[in-house]
Amino acid sequence: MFLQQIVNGITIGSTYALVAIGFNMIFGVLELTNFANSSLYMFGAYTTFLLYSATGITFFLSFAISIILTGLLGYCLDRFALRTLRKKHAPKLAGLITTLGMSMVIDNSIMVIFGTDSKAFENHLDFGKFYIGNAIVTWTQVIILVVACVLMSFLSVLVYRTKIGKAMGAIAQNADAAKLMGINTNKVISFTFIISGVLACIAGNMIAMNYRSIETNMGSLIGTKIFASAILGGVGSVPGAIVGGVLLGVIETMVSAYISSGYRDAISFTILIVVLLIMPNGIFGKKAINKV
Amino acid sequence: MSLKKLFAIVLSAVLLCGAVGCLAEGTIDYNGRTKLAMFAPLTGDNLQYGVKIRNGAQLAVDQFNAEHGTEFTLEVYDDKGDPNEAVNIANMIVSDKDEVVAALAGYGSSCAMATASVFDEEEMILIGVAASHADLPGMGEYVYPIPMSQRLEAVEFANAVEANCGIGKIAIVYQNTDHGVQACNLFKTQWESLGGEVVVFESFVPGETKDFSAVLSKVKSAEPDILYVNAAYNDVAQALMQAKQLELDCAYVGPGMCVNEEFLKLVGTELDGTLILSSTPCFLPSVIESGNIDEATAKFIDEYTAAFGETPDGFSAQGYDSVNIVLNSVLAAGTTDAAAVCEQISAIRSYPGLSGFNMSYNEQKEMNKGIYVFEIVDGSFNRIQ
Repeated sequence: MFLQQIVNGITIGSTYALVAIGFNMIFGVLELTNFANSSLYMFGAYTTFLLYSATGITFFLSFAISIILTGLLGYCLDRFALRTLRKKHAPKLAGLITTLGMSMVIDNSIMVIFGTDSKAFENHLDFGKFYIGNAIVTWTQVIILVVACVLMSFLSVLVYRTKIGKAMGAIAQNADAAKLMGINTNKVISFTFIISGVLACIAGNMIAMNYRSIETNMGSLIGTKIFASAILGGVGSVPGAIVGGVLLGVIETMVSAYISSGYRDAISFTILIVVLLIMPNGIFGKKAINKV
Repeated sequence: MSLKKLFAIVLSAVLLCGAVGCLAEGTIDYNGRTKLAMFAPLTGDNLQYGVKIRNGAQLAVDQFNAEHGTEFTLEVYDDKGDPNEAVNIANMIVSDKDEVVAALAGYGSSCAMATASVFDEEEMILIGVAASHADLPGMGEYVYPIPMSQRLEAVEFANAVEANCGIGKIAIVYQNTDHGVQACNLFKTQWESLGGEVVVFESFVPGETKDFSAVLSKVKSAEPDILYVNAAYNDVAQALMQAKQLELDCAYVGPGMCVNEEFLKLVGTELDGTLILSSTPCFLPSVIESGNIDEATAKFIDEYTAAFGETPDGFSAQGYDSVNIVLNSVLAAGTTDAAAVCEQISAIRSYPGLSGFNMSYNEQKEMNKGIYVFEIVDGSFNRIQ
């Protein structure tokens, strides 16, 4: 049973990691807690569902269109709300509340259009299962973990090795100085939001395929887990999101397997707090230096 | 000789029935009361339930009047599913008590329980049309629920599982809500008293996760004969499908909350063979189309559809049964006096309703019913008991 529980934990963890990557990237660049991230995640899954069930086009085409649309929604989020706030030098808290508001707008719109029933979602990653010892592993689970790792590598390269990544870093350190150095801050920030939308959409669809269903609360369901993964791994760190997510998944699974499934979240979040007391910046977090 | 005798008996029986019928109808002492006052959500989140209940009740009133030549009317108020609103309406209804025979609390236990004391003070009958909370019958002398009491349902579920799967090791996974905890504790007690063994008894918080693999792996290592998941339909669908994926090899049992189309869409044919226990019958279009229902239900569906242009559901049937239980009791009592009518309602045993069979009130005025057992066959519900 232990081996199976490890597999279960890694699977749950990789779903957290998948969503946490995009969340962490936004935080790394803007120091902005993007509450709308989990709504984009749900939006992506629902858009795919709508496209293939209503128009009859193939699943993968729907998926592709959905990625574009969710990326676009991420862009709109920044273009029409956050950019105006930046222009007016609104405090950071205003941005945070704006993302929270946006998240509610998206969530409720989806609820009104689709209703709150669970919807069956097609799984096109169902390539059967295999055994490790007596533990059962499905290929869908493996694919999710692989996709999470691939996206992480891709993003790590993007953020830490490319010019636009350097620009992101510069904006994170000091947006005004970055602007004076000739960086088009608006463009870079919009780009960040598009990437996070795309990531959320991929995550939403992968996870929907794994559980073969979508529901309107799937975003809020995973919301707190993303925060927890991000903080555990180190806020703003892309590899940290993966490690934090997987670790949280394994902790949760072990708690519900060997202690109590009813108190799962209570106990795992207590563990999380203890870890943070020892490592306040998370596992991959750098010690924050705020130069005045 | 014997044929003649038989004929005579039949003839006299028929005449007698007719005479009794006439007598009963002729002697209802209305006391000026002909109204049934119902409050149900006709706007707001729960409006679809309110409308179904109202339509079912209206159909029952119309049919009863047509059959017995009476002139009962149904008056419906909108409580928006809000207990506060319901109390306001209740006060309005009791101020009209010279004309009202009985009050019908439409949707949910909370509205019925909030208003129970108001009606009881004025000695007016209150029927909880869709209130299954176990505490409701104790809240007043004139309060009657129509759905099966959660307390009795849990016990009957355990009996039904024993009858269909045999006694043995059971694993219970349930949602940590008032209903889930109460129902599963009672289920557990009954199962153990039948001689069974509960090997896993785990709760989960609904809305916190849809991944049950951890608890299911634990269930698997306990090697149960039966897995019983008591939760909302989407959680049951997830849990049972994940159990299948983990190759948990045992009988699967789910609760009545699963009897809906969305559940079938989620599970497809993957959970064929799973048993679903319910105290209310199944009104799903797909099941109705397959002709897998009894005659009385079929007749009800036809008449309801003809009258309202939509198919009925379990709530419509409860509305229908509520009205018939009250009016038949008035007819039997021959008066609209609350105490006399209540005596008749309390005496109901094995009533063949549409929202259940063998409907009976026990000493505590709790509703007891027969249990429907559905088996999922080819992705549809097939009644086997």
